Amino acid sequence: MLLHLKDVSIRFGGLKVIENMNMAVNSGELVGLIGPNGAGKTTAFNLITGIYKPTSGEIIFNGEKINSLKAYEIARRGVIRTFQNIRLFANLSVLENVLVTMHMGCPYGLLAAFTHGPKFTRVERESRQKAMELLEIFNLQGLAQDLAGSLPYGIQRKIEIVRALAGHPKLILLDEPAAGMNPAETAELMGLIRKIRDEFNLAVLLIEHDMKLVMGICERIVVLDHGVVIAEGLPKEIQSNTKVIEAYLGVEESA
Amino acid sequence: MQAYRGWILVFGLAFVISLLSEFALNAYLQQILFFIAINIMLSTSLNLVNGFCGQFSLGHAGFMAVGAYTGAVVSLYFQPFPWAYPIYVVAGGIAAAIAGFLVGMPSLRLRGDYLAIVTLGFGEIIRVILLNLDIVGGARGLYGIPGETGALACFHVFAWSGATVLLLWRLVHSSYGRAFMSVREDEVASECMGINTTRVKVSAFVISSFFAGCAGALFAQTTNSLNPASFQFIKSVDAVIMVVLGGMGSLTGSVLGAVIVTILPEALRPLQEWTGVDIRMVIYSLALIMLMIWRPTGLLGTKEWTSIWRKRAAPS
Repeated sequence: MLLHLKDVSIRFGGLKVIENMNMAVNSGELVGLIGPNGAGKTTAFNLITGIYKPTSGEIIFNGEKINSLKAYEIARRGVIRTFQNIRLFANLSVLENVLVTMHMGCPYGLLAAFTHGPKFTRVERESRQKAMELLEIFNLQGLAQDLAGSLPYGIQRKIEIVRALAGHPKLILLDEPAAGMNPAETAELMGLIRKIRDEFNLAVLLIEHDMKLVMGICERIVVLDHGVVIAEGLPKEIQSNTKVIEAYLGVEESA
Repeated sequence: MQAYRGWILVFGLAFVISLLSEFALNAYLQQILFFIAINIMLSTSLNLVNGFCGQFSLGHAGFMAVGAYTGAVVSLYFQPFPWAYPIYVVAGGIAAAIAGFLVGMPSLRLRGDYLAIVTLGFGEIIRVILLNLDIVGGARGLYGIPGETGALACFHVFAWSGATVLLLWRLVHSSYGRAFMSVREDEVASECMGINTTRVKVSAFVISSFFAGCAGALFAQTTNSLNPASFQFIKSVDAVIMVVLGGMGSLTGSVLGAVIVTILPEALRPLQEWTGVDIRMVIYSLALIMLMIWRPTGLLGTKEWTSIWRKRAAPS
């Protein structure tokens, strides 16, 4: 098991946003996290990536408890995410955005940054090359020098995925990767998500409202409602699960 | 080769400027030239924190004062060999960097405007301490600080100034520079991409303080005397104005800002003599207001001279 949430709860004051959440992601697995608005999906992401600390429970990644680690420490251990409300570095170029994530593995020190010696030149050239290769997977190499903030929404979402990939994650968390994309773009994205999973041997955990995407690529789905996991299973099982249907559509009042 | 080209440029420029100043300028203009060089160091180093890292420091004069007094005291009581001026400058820089670490460590852990308040306080505290410290002359100030004169002084000051710009330029164009800018753009995202934002902010702040300290020590050497009144709050504001004027996040913009802010009040001096009223500050403030109306990002925005040049040279 790569990621394991054990009885994780978080409350903000009296509000219990997530209660006793249990969930696991195996390495190389593609898992979907769905649920109605306000179910606590993004909060779950914030807990896993260390932006919030759980009130109780344990989050275990790769056999290590990561509850109390800072966000950057968790990222360095291999959990990198994208954001629902795109958080690219808007005034940096696309290439620079990708290079920022590579900083955690930067092999030269501050001194080399001042001297710009041969090692610096070599490392910079190599990381630029690597970043370009990643951009090429998403067919974004032509936009490398453009300011990230100036590009269309759908492309920004893809850049966020590339930026996360640059940190060599073992688990990538995608928060609504297809939001704002048209059906054709979504279909392309599905292919890309599968491709990066296979090519980089990652586990993917994604939040998505587009059921076509979720049912199409996820091997397993976890359904969250009001902070509680109400169902878990294969896409087919989830589609026919009465609790899930109730959560999304409500219960029919019996006369 | 690339690593040396910058240094050749810096020393070459410093040499040319010092030759020019020796043959073409009187003592008054030479003094202005020194201040330009020192202000370039202040503005570019402040830009690292305010422009590239997105924090707001308001106490640059405080770090300059720490560097100035440390450099001066070291040069008065400790002279290892006759021409040890660069050592005094480094001593001033190191003292300021330590001060920067002590100020930055607690305040940069927090997000938001805490740094502005803390640095504002720090600048005033340093000034008041200096005012009441008898071993550095208190309010009377410190006199007889050794320093070279003429072309040699000019070369020394401009070599330091150029070195500051070169080193900061290289830093900004490295992985560390990108980390600084990512913190400015979005601290949460930066942290989630594996960047230790506190460490990044503190290192930017310490580096910035170091160069402010160096600038202070050079200031002491060129004026040969120090007084706490030179490091009032307005001096910090001046540094901020240079950065904002030139463009936050543009090193070459800060150089331009420093040149303008240093020259403008002096250039307007004849106007004051002619009209009989001190109209300089009025024009100065008007110029700033107009800038904020028509070009709120500063003269260069986040662009550098070089990138504008390249675009003109090769339109693609």
